[in-house]
Amino acid sequence: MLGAQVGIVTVVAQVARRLRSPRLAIVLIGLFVVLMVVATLVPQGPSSAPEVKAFVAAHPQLAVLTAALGLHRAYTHPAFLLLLALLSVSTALCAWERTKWAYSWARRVRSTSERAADSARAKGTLLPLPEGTSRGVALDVAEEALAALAPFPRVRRSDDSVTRAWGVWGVFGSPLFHWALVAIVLVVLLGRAYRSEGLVGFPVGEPVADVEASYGTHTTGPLYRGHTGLTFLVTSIDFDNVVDGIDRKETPHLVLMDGERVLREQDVYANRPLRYGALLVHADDIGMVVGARLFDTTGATVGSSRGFIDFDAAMPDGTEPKELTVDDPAGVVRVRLWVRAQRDGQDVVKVIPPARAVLVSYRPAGDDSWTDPVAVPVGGELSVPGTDKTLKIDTLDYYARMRVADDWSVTPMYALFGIAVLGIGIAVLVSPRRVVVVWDRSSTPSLRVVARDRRGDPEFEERVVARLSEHFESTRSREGGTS
Amino acid sequence: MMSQAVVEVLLMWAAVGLYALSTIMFVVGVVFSQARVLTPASVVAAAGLAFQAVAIVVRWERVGHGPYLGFYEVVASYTFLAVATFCLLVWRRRGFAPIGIVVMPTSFLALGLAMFTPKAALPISATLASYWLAIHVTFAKLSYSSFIVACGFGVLYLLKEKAGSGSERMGGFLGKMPRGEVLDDYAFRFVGVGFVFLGIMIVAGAIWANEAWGRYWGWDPIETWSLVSWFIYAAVLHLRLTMGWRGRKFAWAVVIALPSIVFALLGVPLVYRSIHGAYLLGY
Repeated sequence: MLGAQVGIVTVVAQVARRLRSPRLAIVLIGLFVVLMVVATLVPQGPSSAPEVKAFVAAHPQLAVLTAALGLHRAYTHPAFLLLLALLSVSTALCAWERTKWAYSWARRVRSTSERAADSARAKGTLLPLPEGTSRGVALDVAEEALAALAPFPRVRRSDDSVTRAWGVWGVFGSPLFHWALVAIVLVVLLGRAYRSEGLVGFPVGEPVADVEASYGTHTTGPLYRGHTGLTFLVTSIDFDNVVDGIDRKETPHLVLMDGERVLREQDVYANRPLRYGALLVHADDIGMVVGARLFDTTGATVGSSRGFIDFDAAMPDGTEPKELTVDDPAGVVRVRLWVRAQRDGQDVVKVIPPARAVLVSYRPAGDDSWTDPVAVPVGGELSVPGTDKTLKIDTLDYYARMRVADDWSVTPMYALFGIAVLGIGIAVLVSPRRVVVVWDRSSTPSLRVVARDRRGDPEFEERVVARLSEHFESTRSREGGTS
Repeated sequence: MMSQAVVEVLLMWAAVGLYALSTIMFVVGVVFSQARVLTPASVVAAAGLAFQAVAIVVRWERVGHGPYLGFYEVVASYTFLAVATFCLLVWRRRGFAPIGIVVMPTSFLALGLAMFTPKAALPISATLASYWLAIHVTFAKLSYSSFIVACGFGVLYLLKEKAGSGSERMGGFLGKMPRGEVLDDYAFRFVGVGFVFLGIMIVAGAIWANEAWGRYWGWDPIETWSLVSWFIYAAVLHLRLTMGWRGRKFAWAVVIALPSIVFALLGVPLVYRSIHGAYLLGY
C-alpha cells in the first residue's frame, strides 16, 4: 500500500517536473500559435454558418480535411482545450516555482551575508582610494554614495562592508503575472460555463420578460443557473441621437424592472450598454414588428401571428421577408410579409415607410409557389385566395434587437487583467539590484565593489563604480577646500 | 491663405524629404564607415520629426480626432513614434545613432507610401467613440514602436558581431557603438516594455469590445493575431529568461518575431475581413 503511494507520488512528481520545464512551456506556446494561425485561415462556426458553407463550396476537397480535423470549431476543439489545460498547469507550476524562488532570493538579498562580502572581496572591481584613507572614512563615504543611488535608502553596514539592495520586490512581478494568467484562464472557463448570451427583440412599448421564450438566438453554458425573470421595456427609439457631436444611430430607451420597481433606465447605444449586476444589455439593431390576424366571414378571429421584419440592404425591397403561419382550423395558412423600405443609395433608411404598408404573399396549401405580393396598409384587409378567410394587418411598429448577456466573470476578469499587467510591468520595469562594497584588506587603501542587476544590465557595475569614484573625488575636494 | 489640409500635406512632405535625407546620410555613414555623418543624420531625422509633429497636430485640429483612422493616419503615427523613440535614444546616448540605419529607411519608406494613400478624414463612428479607443491605440503604437526599436538593436548586435569576427569595413562606425552586451540588453528592455504595452493593448481592446459589442473576445482575425504576436514575444522572453538566450540567439529571435506584429497591423486587414479593416483600409 505504502509502496503504491510512493509510486504515485513519484509519478506525479515526475509529471510535475516535466510540466514546469521551460522548454515544454515554449513548445506549448509554439503549438498554441500554430493552432491559432491555422484557425484564422479557416472560417469558424457550425457547418450551417454561411461562411463555413461558402468555404465548403469553394474548397470541397480541402473542406473534407478541415471538417475531419474539426478546424471550423478550432477554439472549442478537444486538442485546443487540452493544449490550454497543459499550458495552464505548466504556468501554474512555473508560478509556484517562481514564487518559492523569489521569496528565498529576496530574503537572501536583504540580509547582509558574510558570503556576499567574501565574494565581493574575491571578485569585486578594485576602487583605489587616496593614501591614508581609513576604513571608517572609506565606508562612510561609500554608504553616503550608495544612499544617493536611489530613493528610500536601506544601506546596511557591517565592520568592513556596506550593502545596498533595492527593487528587491521586483522579483515578485513574474510570479504575480503567472498566477494572474492561471486565474484568468480559470475565470474565463468558469465564466463560459455560467454564461448566457442571446438576442432578444423588444417591441416598443411592450414589456418583455427575461425568460427563455423571449430569446431568438440563445447560447448558455452547461452551468447556467437560469434567467433572472426581470422585465425589460423599450419605451421609445431615438432616431436622431447625437452625443458629443457623434451620431449614435438608432437608440432605444430601455427600462429594466423587477415587477413594478424600476431598477435601471437609460438610452442604450454602442459603448453605453445597460448594466445590472451580471446582466449586460447592448443595442444590436432595430427593425419592424408586424401583427397579422386571420378572421372568417362572421368576423371571428381564427388565428393571429406576429413577427419581426429586419432591414437588410441586400434584399431587393430592403427588408427580409418574414414567413408567418397563421393557424386556421381549416389548415395552416402560410404568409410572407415584408416592407418596401426607403433607400439612400445602396443603404436602407431604417424607418417605417410613410405609407405604412406591408407586402403580403400567400402560399396556398399544397402549392409550392407564392402569390404575387399585395401591399396592405396597417388596418387593411386581404381575402386569402381559395378560402373564406381574410387577413388583416393589425400593427406595424418598431422593435429593438438587443444582445443580453448574463456573465458574472467579466468584472473579476478585468481585475485579473489589471493584476497581470501590474505583475508583468513590475517584472519588466523593476529590476532588483544589489551593491556590496567591502574594505580591501591589502596594504594600500582600496575598496572592492560588486554590483549586480537581476535583469543583467551590463553597465550597472561600471556606473556604480564611477559614482563611488566621483563621490570620493568630491568628498576629497570638499575637505581640501575646507582645510 | 493656404488651407489646413494643404499645410498638413506640405509639412508631411517636408518630413518625408528630411527622413529621406537622413536615410541617405545613415547609409553613407554606415556603408562608407563615416562615423562623423551619423550625428548630423540624427539631427536631420529630428528636424523631420518636428515637421511631422506639427503636421499631425494640424491634422488632429482639422479632423477632430487623433491619428488612428485610415492607413495614412495609422502609418504616419507609427513612423512618428519610431523616429521619436530613435531620437530620444540618440539624445540619451549618442552611441546609439547607427540604429538609424534600421529606423530611418523604414520610416521614410512607410511614410512615403502613406503619402500616396487617401488622406480624407474618416469620421468617428458611434462604436469608435470611447476613451478605450485612446488607450487601445496609444498602447498599440507604443508596443509596436518598442518592438521595431528592439529589432533595430537586434540587427545592430548582429552587425557588430559580424564586424567583430573580421568585417573591417563595418568596424568603423560599429566600433563607436556601445559594446554588444549593451545592445543585447537594450533589445531585451524594449522587448520587455513592448510586451507589457502589447498586453495592455489587448486587454484594452477586449474591454472596449465588451462595451461596444457585448463580447470581450470573438476570435476575430485581428484579435487572434494580436494574441499570436503576444505569444510569440512571450516565447522570446522565455527564451531569454528561462533558457538563457543572449547575444546572437536573442538578437535573431527579436528580428524573427517582428514580422508577426507587422502582419497583425498591416497584413491582417489585407488578408482577412476583419473589424480593423474598416478603420485601416476603409472597407
